[in-house]
Amino acid sequence: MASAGSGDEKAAAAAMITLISSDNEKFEVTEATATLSQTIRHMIEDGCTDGGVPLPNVTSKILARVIEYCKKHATAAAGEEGSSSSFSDAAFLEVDRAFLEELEEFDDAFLEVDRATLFDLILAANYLDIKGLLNLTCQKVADSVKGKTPEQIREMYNIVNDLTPEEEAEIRRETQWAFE
Amino acid sequence: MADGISQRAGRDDGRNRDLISALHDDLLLRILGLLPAASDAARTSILSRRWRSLWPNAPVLRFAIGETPKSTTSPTVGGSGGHSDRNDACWLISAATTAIARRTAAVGGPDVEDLQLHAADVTPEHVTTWLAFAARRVTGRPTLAVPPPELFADDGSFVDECDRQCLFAVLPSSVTAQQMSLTLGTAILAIPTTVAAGAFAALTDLLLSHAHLVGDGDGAGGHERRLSRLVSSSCCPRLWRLRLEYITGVAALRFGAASTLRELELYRVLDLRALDVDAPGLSVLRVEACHILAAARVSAPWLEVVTWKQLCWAGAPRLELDGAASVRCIEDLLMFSHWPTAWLDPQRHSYLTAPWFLIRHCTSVNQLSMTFIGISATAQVFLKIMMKDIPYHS
Repeated sequence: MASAGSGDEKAAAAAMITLISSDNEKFEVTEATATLSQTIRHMIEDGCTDGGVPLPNVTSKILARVIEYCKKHATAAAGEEGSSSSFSDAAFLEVDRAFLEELEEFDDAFLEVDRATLFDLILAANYLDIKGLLNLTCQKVADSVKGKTPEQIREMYNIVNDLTPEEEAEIRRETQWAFE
Repeated sequence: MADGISQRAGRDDGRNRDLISALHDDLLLRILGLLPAASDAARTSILSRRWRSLWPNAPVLRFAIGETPKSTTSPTVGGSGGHSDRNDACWLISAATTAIARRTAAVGGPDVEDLQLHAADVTPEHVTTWLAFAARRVTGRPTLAVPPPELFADDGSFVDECDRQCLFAVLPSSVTAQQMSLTLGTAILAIPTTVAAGAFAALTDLLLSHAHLVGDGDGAGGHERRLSRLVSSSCCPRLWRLRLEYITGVAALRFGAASTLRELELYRVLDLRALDVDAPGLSVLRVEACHILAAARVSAPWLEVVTWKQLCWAGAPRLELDGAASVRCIEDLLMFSHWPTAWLDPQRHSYLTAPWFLIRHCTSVNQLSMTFIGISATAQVFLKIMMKDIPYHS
């Protein structure tokens, strides 16, 4: 299995996929990176990636960021599979921990973007079905809402309050416990 | 960090556009699901019409009412909170009950993926309603955490057992639940006779805690057989971790676990006398404070980590651990030093049986942590001298 596995890995490493953004920019990525996206994984499985994968919903600016995320996390996934870490292998655990910390730092830095980019990333992660990225970006939004008053949230996200005062009073009555 | 989003405004940052409300419902519901408390999610219903319709469909309901349950029953004299805390708790319990009643009434509405209820001071009706809801409408992670009743009242007086509220619970049977965590405030727990093959087809993680099992008219030990069947491979074919803590009324537990079971923890299963487990994939076994466990047979050929702590003074238990040879790590082995010789006979005292057994049979251990228990000052000095030559000790 070992020799066959390494052969497959080489083949996988060599297999490159071309992703084409909405503004026609081409990105060459490894299959391992691309398949973090379930959408692309299914396309590869169906054999419809020849001539590149057009992604009409994703701009080159956002696609570049998404690929940056996938590259980093694909390496992480490969590392996890490769290491035969068990409870007793303290050295492996040490390496894993260091790597996870690095990944966390990467994620934190990755999220240092303006609001419009953040929402574009959410849409791209949703469209491409990249679970980790979707959770990461949605969590950032959730964290920004946590503990805030409705007025603060409205102001932060430019939400127009289209409720009548009566409706607002009714909702406030129903959810009074949430405002205590 | 949270405010960073609004502060770092770029050129095309949609400064005046409502970008968040433009997201699809699925995404907004996902964001609501990532909020730490139901109150955070419920508050968003007042933002606008769009948002009003979201909260009733939120995939996650998290109510942390009062303090989180204690892991031990150590009494806190003077009670855990003042009057206002109690009022807040009542308020939140009624909010949780209302929210759950609405979701129950919304036939055809979306199920809840994650239900988390942490609540003290609940009534039997609460427990019944919540567990029924968990069985019917919670698909992923039902968590109910009711701490055991306080042993002392607010004024510091001891609460008599008959004055404590007795809770009843029926184990929620669910083919969709993945992680079920039930801390039941010492409720009397019934396992339905309907729990049959595949009843928990998706369950990977089960915690049952602070519950008392009793027979239910199907002969002596019927409830034990039902618990054994519940955790067996036929009912829980995907179980990965099983934890039973503070369980009473169960004298025997005999089951063949799913090959997926990696971790088994028994902590204070206080009436347990006989344990018989076949766990072909088990990697971690922790048996602790099951004081009257007299006979245990565990077949676990892939066992790696083991903890076995019994401290009672009864006769030595019979231990059989098929898989001891593969154990690499023994956690927290209790050793006794400088005790009167009469107390140190492994044939007679259970607190010595397990350490002796593990040391003799776990032949490939490369990690061992020990606690030395010595009763005299001489023992302390002796241990210090002995330990100084051992690397990595603390």
